[in-house]
Amino acid sequence: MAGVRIVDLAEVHAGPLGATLLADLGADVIKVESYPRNSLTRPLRPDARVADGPGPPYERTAPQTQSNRNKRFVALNIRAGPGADVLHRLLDSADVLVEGYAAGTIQRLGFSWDVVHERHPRLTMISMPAWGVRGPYFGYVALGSGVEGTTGHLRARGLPAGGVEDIASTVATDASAPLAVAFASIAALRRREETGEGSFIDLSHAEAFSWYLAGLLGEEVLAGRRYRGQGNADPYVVPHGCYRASGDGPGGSGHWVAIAAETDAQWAGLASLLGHPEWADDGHPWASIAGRLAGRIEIDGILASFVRGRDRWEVADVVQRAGAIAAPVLEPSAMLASPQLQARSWFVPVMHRYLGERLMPGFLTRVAPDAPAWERPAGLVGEHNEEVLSELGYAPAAIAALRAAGVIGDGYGGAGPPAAATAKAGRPRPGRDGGAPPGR
Amino acid sequence: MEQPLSGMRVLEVGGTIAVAAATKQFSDFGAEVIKIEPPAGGELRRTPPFADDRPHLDTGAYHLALDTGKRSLVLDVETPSGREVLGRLCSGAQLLFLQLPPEAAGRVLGVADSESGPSTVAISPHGLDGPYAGRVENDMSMFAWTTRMYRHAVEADGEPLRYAPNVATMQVGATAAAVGFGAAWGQAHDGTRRHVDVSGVEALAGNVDTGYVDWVLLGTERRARGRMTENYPIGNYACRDGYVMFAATLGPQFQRLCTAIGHPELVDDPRFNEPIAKSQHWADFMEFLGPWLDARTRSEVFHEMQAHRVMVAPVLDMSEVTEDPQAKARGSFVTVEQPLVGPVTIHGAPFQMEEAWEARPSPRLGEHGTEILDALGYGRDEQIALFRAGVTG
Repeated sequence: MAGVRIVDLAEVHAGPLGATLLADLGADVIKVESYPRNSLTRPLRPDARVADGPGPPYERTAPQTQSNRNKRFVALNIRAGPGADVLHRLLDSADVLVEGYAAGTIQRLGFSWDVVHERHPRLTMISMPAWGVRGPYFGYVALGSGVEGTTGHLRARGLPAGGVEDIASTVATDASAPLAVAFASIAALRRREETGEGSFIDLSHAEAFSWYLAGLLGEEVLAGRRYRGQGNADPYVVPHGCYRASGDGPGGSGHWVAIAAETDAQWAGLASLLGHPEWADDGHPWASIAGRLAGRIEIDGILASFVRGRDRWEVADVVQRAGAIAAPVLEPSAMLASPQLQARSWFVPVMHRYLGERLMPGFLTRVAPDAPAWERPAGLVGEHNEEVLSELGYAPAAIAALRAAGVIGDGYGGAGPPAAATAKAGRPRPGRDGGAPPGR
Repeated sequence: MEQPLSGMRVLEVGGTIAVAAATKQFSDFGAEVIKIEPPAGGELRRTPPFADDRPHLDTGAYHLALDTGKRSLVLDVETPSGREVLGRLCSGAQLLFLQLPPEAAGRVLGVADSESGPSTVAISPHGLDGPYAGRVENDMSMFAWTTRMYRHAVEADGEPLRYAPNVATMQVGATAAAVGFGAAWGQAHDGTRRHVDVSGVEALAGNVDTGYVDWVLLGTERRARGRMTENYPIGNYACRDGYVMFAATLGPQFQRLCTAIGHPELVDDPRFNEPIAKSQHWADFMEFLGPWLDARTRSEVFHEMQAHRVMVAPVLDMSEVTEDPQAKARGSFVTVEQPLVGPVTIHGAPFQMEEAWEARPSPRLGEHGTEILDALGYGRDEQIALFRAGVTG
């Protein structure tokens, strides 16, 4: 994606990670952060969950760190006239703008598609509120957990006998939307080669995720059945589940192993491992899939006994060697011990000014010959203000004037580096609503 | 206006859910996708559910949803004859997606490896190299490696849970599509063929919704925690006709929520106005929120709360999602006339772009074999020979 410039005006995970995926492939991504209002992932509250370290706490949060590698960071008040001018100059040089405010907000900020398209005809704009721009939920706000509720996925998780109250929230839609952002950006670039113009893309987190539920929708529309959470069970495969192993996991939980045998051959391997190769011989009821479905409870019990008291890694290894499916259920700290991830050097040591060196998760995919690199950690507030504005043609004196006027800055709430002290007007009040809420 | 991907040719090999999910993104946006399928149909066509619960290679939900607009060629790429056909297909293609065991994948990648060949995207559970490269996994076991399962347990010491079936696998396919598209864009502009190695575990673990970054930064390993009563409201709360999902714990959200339920004074109530006191008075707060929810449907809660910009959403059943007013207004679902099944409702575009996306019917297994082989220049005698030898079907 070298030669492509993306402007990331989004917050939290979905938009920012989408821009990062393009940056990993070589795009020049400039993140324009809200200023002086801090974003949701840069909390000023003293009790916010942040990593230990020097520097302002809003430079040490997990989501901010995870979803923002390989970008340059500008902190800009786009409500102020001179700030809007800076953004327009930046958009003149850009190919794609990604924004995730609640529907309607970007218009109020003066950057509706009509305005943007008129002034920057080759620019593509991706607007990505929770449920998209168009439709009766215009202006509504949500996190990924809420979006998941309307897709049907939340209600399809959990255990058959469990209460809905107990189904944990996920941010599954924050994982799918970035993939759609990347794909949509390239689709729009390709279309521009035909039309010469940028496109408007109305990206609903719900729609970017929902097509993953093809099977669940099929249960309704093809088989006429209501799908409910079945835990790890598969109605057509026995065994298929997680079994408790020895050892303690995080927060008083146990260690577990996921085990399945989908075919007769996998079952035969598992039966031999269990010391009963005859369970796979012709004539034995469990030799056939139909017989195993009928024996689900008994087979589950046998596997549970086999796994109990054993180490999860060891069980997974022996079941795999026997020819069936198995994996240890890992918590984050255990993932580091994966021989596979180690052999592929997946984790990446990343140096961050305030976090020090941390072993960050690797890239979503490997690419050869030009592999992605973690060239920049998540940026600091306004870290590249001077660099980017200089490239846009602002003289040092003009940049200093913008800083003095509070149009750009490099800290929030007075807790940041010295420059923040100049940004008195409109400083956000900790713990209060500092203006229009982000859509995300 | 043409569809944005028209003029692209994309090949799909392996017949799995992940690889079909990847190429669907290209097909629906206008690329020509040739689905090269094993004679027995492959995982995608065999995965339930099926129309009327009658298993059939051409009537499964995954096939009907993910093979839209593709052309189907049955070809055994495990034979030299099959790979010769594949080689001819490669010379006109921009991208080749495949999911096969490592050695078979290597042979197919070898076929694509010529100057005029496509960029390649190989999907597998663990990647093409490393000690686990040969391991067989499924949707559940692949997910187990990614740290996500513990977060989705119902009880703190209960069984860790996967997403609903194949949702993680679909995400792997979508990841392959996005990065593969980047590779094709690059090749079109700099002439460099690129090779993408998609490990499902890495694609999932490197994305959000894992606990890894929280752990490496904060040292905490989040577990399922059931009802949150320390800070609230967050999670699923019952109302008159079902559940709503709240994420309204933080200062301004909580303040607006109190206003929305007609009790703005609660914000300054000493039971709720600072974190420690608030953590001890969930039951007290429910005396205000509970009756308010009991008196309202999900829809009423949603609209009344959103009028105050409170983050809440209705929890919908799969039977309700197609009737959701937002989905209807946006056309989030479409109906495709599938020749063997009739009209079938499937999910619509993953993002909305003018005149860009269209779902066409899914092909029967091997439906386009003759026309594809004709176009590649195979005479009928050659086609008969390939068929007789079991290479095509």
